[in-house]
Amino acid sequence: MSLFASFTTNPTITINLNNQEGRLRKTIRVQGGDPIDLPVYSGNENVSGTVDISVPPGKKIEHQGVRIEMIGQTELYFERGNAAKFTTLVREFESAGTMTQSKTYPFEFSTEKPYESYSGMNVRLRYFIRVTITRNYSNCVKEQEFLVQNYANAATQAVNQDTAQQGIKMEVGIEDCLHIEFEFDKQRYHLQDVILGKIYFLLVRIKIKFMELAVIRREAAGVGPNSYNESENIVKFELMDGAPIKGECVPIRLFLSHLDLTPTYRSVNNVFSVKYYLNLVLVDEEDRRYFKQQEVVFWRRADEQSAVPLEGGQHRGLRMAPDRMVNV
Amino acid sequence: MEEEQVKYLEEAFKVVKNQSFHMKRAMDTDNLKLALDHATEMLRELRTGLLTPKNYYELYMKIMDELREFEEYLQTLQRSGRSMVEIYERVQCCAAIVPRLYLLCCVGGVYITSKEAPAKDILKDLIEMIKGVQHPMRGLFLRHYLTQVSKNRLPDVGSPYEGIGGNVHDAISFLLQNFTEANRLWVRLQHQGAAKDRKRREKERMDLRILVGTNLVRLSQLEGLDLAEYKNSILPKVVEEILACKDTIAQSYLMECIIQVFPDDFHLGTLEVFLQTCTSLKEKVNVRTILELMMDRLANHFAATGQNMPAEIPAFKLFNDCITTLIEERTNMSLVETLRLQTALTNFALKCYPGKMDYVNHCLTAASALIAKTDFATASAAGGDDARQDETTQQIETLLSSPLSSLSLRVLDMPSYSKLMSYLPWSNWKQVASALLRSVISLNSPLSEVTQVEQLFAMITPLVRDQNAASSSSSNNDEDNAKVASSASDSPAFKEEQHLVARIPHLLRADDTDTVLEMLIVTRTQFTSGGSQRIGYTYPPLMFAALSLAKRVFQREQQVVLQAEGQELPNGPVTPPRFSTKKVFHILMDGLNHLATTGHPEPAMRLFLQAAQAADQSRFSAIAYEFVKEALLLYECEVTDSRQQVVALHAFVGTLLNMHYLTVEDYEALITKIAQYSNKLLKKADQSKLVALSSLLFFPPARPSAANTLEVVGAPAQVPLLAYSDPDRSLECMQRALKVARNANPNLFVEMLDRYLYYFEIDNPVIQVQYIVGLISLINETFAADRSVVLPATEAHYRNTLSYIRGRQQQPEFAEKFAPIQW
Repeated sequence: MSLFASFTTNPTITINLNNQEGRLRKTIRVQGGDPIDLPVYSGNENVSGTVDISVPPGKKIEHQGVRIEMIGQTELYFERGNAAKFTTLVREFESAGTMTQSKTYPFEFSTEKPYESYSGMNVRLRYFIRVTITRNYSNCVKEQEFLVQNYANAATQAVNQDTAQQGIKMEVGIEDCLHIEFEFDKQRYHLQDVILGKIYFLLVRIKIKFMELAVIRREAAGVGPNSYNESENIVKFELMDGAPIKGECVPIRLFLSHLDLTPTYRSVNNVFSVKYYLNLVLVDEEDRRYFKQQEVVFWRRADEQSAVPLEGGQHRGLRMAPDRMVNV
Repeated sequence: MEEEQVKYLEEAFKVVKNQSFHMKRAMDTDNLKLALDHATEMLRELRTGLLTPKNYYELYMKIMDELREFEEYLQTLQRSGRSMVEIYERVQCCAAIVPRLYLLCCVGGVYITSKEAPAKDILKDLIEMIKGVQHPMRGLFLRHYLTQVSKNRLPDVGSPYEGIGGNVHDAISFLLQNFTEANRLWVRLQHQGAAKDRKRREKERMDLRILVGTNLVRLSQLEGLDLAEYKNSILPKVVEEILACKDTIAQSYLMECIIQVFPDDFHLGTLEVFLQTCTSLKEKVNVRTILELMMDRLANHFAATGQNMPAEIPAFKLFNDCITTLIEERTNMSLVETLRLQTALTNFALKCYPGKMDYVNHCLTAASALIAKTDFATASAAGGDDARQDETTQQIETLLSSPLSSLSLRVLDMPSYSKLMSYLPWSNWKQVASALLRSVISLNSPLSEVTQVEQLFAMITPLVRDQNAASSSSSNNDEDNAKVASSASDSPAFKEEQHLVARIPHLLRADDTDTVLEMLIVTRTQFTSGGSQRIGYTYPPLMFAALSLAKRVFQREQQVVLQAEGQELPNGPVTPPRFSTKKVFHILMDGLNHLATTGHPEPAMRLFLQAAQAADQSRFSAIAYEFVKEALLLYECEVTDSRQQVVALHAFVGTLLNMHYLTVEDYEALITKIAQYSNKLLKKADQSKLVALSSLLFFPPARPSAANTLEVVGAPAQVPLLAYSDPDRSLECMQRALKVARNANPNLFVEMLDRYLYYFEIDNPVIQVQYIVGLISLINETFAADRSVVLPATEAHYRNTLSYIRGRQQQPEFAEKFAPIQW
């Protein structure tokens, strides 16, 4: 009888997260799947809430135990089912027994979440809460995913925001053919930042058709023989139309906030890393491409969500890289 | 090619139509994001590189129409409180640069209106970002759009954006920068593509030039622009760019633009800089047209305002320096071009400095020096007539003609003028000479000095004589010239020229009769050298001038006499003339003889008669006799045509009846001669008429004592008045005439009757009433015998005569005398 009953009775598990009002939510898409809308937590934030287990009236549920876990893990797409958990926290709600009525369990996980959620080309990093009712034959499981974003702490923020930081400045060229000098105002940009810069043409002997600035994400996942490196263009931003002549100077102004970016990740759990590059590409009339890549660091600023402030008393839409003398 | 263009354009239009439709729908539902997306898609069409400038312009205009609606939509958003800051940022996310920058300009305009940021900052941002389009044509159109967007949004004086938004300097530097960049793009267009397409590219550039010029127009429209600002901040920058671009088309167009766009007083204030720029332009730039344009502009300014050139602006000097520099530096400039420059300067001097002779003279001197430096003179003497030579000749002609209308005779005082004329080939010289003469004549400016006359003749030499007469050209040329001369001598052109020359004697006017005579002598020498063809035209007026001079000299002599008698003269004291009346008559005599001997006996004869009358009026009876005698000699030798003989004899009779101071012997000798000639006429009718007429000479009407004669005082008054009457010989003549008429033509009887009646009425003692009665019955008989010979006119004449007689018979004072005439 009891055996039969255990087959037929399924409890409904609902996970309710606290403090959802006003919380930032983001829509992600995993490997081209359907978009999922998820709440965003910061790494040092407690994840709390309640779990409702509803037992249909008049039924009873036998179980080996009820527990809740908060798991953080990395998954390589090419190694299915081989997730590497880096965080696992378990709370026992019930030891083995029988549930005869619905019950609500509060929970709170206060552990530091060291890594950000990430959904890349070959790897993802995700956090979720899992409630498991252990039973003899099949467990009853419910998962709730959430996103984690880590804002820079005061120390790193200070480093990243160092106003005296060197921008990127380079002189590149092909002898007697093309000679340009370009500069980006910084090496480190926060995700709401604006990349400002200039390109000076010192020598132009090729017929340039256009010039663009690409933001490239380079993802390295796995180790050893199973490592995968892949790049993708986040944006190709046209900087110049037509051929300049010697002495011309073309401005760069690229707003990052509209791009789907993450901070730069260096060796996350020794499984993957994500780096960003600015790629300046010149294309000539024969569709030959001349390019130069420069790594930039993206970081997440603590006050990311606050209104865009005036910078230097000016709307940032009007900001320019500072003029400088160039020897032409 | 053309078909493809149409296709491309149609496709583009289709996209624009579609996208603008969706854009407007999105605007209607207030969906900014969607509207922006469609606007972007629409503007994406402007990225095309397939269209020619003209078609790209079509597309651009179409899209601008649609974009204007989008801008209005933004304005509504802005008015309802929407921040433009955010939209300005958002449009910058568009990855394609051309649509991005169009949208940026569009939003930027509304952003300025919103005053959320200072206008100058936004403008500065736009002008900086727009550098991203380096493609010449797309860049030019984009920059044009920027000028459109910023049109009423510059922080100009009096604009709502002035103040925090900046000041007029910001507006100026914005427009200047856009101008500079637009010009660079435009110039760059020249250097793209294959060399063989150069012509097409230049045409395309011409199509696009307005996109550059618009910036200068905007600059000139700034309220806050004054001379100082123009001089200090605009012109130097514009000039710097013009010189730096080193492009012929751009330099030509932009210099022209400056002249047309900015006001006159700015040009006056900055003439020096402008002209210095002109000297530094590219070699191929036609600086002359630029200078001419500027000169015209200034000249028209002064003409319109009625002002004079301000003394502090040495405009002429500046232009002259400029031209001098140009000529010095551009060593490969052709002579004709340098002459054109001098012509332009001459015209400028004439228009802006009326009365400044030395300026004109300066130009002419410079021009003549320029010619002297080249081999033009020797080449044209050698008969070189290639196109360039012709052009140069034409230019000298133009240069010489320009000062004529305003200066006319005063050019005589300019030695360079005649010098330049002498450089012209004969026929062109002739053209200028005609023009010169025409203007002198039309202004009726008198020639009152001998040197003036000499100069004038030096200048119009080709009108006065043939070429070979003037220059000692080689003998084989003579034949040609002779041919040319003979064929030209009866051409309308030749006649017209000579009619012009013939008017010169009438221009010789001076208070002093001696001067006039000297001028006449110079003129006569010149005319004499012209050969017989010309003399026919030129001598008669000269002789008439001499005749009227004779009258003046005579009056002067009379006044001297009166003065000597102690009378007060109304016009102050008079000095005795150096040349007496007699001298004048002597010259006349010589001249007329020359006229007669060079193939013009008939005019000479008539002029002799005129002279005779004039001499008679001055009481020089001997001279008068000589003149008539000369005329008679000419009649005898030269007048052979019977009809002309009749005319001539009439003239003789008229002249002699008008002469009052011949001695009786002279008179008798002359009239006898005339009666004889009359009698010798071939046609009976003529004979009859003329003999009847000469009967008058034997019984002349009573001479009025002093009427028709000059009032004479002093010695010449003692010349006795001619009193002559020989009624018998007059009757003889009448009878002879009647006799001839009887054999010739009975119609003449009626005329005879008239003449008999005349003599009867003035009491010619030998004319008896029975002669008249007899003649009437003779007429009646003849007419009755053969009516067919009677002309209707004669019949009417006869009736009138008869009714005249009846009329006399009824008048009491004549009734008694006429009563016996019955028929």
